[in-house]
Amino acid sequence: MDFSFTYLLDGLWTACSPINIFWAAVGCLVGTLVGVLPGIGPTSGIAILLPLTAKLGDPTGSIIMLAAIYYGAMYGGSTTAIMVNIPGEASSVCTAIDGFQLAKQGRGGPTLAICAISSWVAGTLGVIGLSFFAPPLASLALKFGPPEYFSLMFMALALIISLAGRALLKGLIAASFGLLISYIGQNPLTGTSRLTFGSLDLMGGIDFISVIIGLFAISEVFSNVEKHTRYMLAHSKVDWKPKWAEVLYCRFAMLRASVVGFFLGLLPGCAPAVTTFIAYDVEKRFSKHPEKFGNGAIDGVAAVEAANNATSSAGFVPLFAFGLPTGPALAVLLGGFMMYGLTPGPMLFQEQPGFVWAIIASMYVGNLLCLLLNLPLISIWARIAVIPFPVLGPLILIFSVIGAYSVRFLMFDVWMALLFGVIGYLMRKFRFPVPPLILAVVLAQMMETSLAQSLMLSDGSLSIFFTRPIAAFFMCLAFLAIARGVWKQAKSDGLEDACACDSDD
Amino acid sequence: MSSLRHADIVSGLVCTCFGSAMISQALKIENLFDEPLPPGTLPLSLSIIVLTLGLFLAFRAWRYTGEDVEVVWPAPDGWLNILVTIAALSALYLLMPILGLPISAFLFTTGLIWFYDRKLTFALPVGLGIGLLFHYIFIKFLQMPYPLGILE
Repeated sequence: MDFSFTYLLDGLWTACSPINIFWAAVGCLVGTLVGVLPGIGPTSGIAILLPLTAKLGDPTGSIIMLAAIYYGAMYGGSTTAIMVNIPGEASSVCTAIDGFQLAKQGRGGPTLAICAISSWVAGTLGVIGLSFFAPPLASLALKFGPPEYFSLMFMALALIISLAGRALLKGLIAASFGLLISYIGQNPLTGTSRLTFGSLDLMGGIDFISVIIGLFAISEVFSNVEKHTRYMLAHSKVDWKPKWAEVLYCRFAMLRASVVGFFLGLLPGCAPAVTTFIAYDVEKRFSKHPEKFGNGAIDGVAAVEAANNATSSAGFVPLFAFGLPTGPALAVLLGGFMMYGLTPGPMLFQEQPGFVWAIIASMYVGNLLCLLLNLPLISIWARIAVIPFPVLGPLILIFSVIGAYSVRFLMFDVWMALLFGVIGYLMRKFRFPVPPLILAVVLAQMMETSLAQSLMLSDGSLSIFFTRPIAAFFMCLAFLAIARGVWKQAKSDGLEDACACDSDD
Repeated sequence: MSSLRHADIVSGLVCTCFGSAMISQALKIENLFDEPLPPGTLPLSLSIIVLTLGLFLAFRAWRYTGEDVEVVWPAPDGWLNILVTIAALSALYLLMPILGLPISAFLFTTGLIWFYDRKLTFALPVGLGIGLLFHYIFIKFLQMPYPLGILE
């Protein structure tokens, strides 16, 4: 698979044909709606439409549309996280942390616009990476074995120190609690039942979407009903246009997060949920105003959205180069390729160059369409601010319930969302930081699996994490972050008090 | 628990109890295969960590003598709102398998908007809209397997 401008230009010519632009636009629109609607993620969206595309009979148009649904969903996913504090998926959690604070200040519209611009920048940079460097990058991703994965996850877990703010001890408790609840259910490698208290429901584990929805959306409603809130968001002006100064202010955040998201997104299994947390922390360290993070940092939101989209674009690199899907949505998309008798991999580039380059080129067009489609929609989403809370609150709750139920179609999950809503409410009152809990829940399964696999490789020796260069590099970064956090904590005294974002009292 | 110091003591002790309960469960996990990382290792370690950190939090708050921070609890009507919201959600969960999602979502949305606002002007149309949205878009068009209950 070699890059050639001729192939790319041919691909652009095909992608820009009216019918393919139409399918890309349909995909972007459906993807945006799929992202906005809680409970229907890109995986379900592609899976639902996959059989319908068979009727089109045109593999290029079908795959262009399905790919557009995938990256279009990344554009729409931030909407509910920002406007009503419902992160429909784990990758939107960091968006909700700062985005919802900005929406409360009456800046929901401009924040959504920054998200769309950031998504477009990162999506386009990701496609450039895919076009020019796919083979060497895909080979780099294959150098990641279980020890490298574990050390990367360990480094991500060390971000708890940063996310906990002034409440390190409470942050550690929240993270340990998050890890522990993630281990409820069956061991991923052996199937051994754990921590279930004999309950059959708990055998299936606690789904992290229920945890996220409970901790964010339901607890937010509780916090508002106790105060008889009339309007949850500042509604004096329904503005949606971002200031150019803000876009310029966020430009480096977008670029940095695009790089972080793209390189981490090359790794199979490294979901946007992980990369967004890492990009958020990186941006906090680079920011001139780190104190704003958690209280409404626009550059934090821009970074998270950029990382999210760059990760989704990067996922196409191993998919096209080796036929290796990095996540469930791309696995379904791979099914779409196979439905047409196409097997992604180096041979596909030789046998069907016109098809492959048309798909890649369509992503440039698709990302632009997503931006053009999302900017006008923002003026509609921004009007959520004028809905009085007595109406908005029940709507948030009903969509939260649907979001939690739709993952596995189990009533157990909606009960868990309610339980975590109560836990989230009490965590706000007792000033426990919520993000470390979420990060731990997101990382838990992958950490355990990669740790177990690493120990199998090394016959139980932990030295494997320090003898392999990439793993050792991440471990050193993790220990440095931990040492820095502990040192800062040791210097402070007083009661543990999480940042204002977790406590609205 | 009107002060953060008291809240920390209570939450520390709750974490200790939770950690103890998890330790009792973690000790029951069987190691069926001879693995380098037995399935009970991480749960047991984390349970001990939660217990220890909980105790430390409670002890640190108990020893604390500096300026305290107030925890603002809701007024009685605020508690009522929270309890009614929890009760409404529980009722929704219980009714969903019987009445189906569209009808129970209609009842839930209408009832809760009416409770918060005391006006049916918004409650009825919004509730009806939600019920129809779920029925026609989610169930009929997208064919999502939501419970239909008596509508089946």
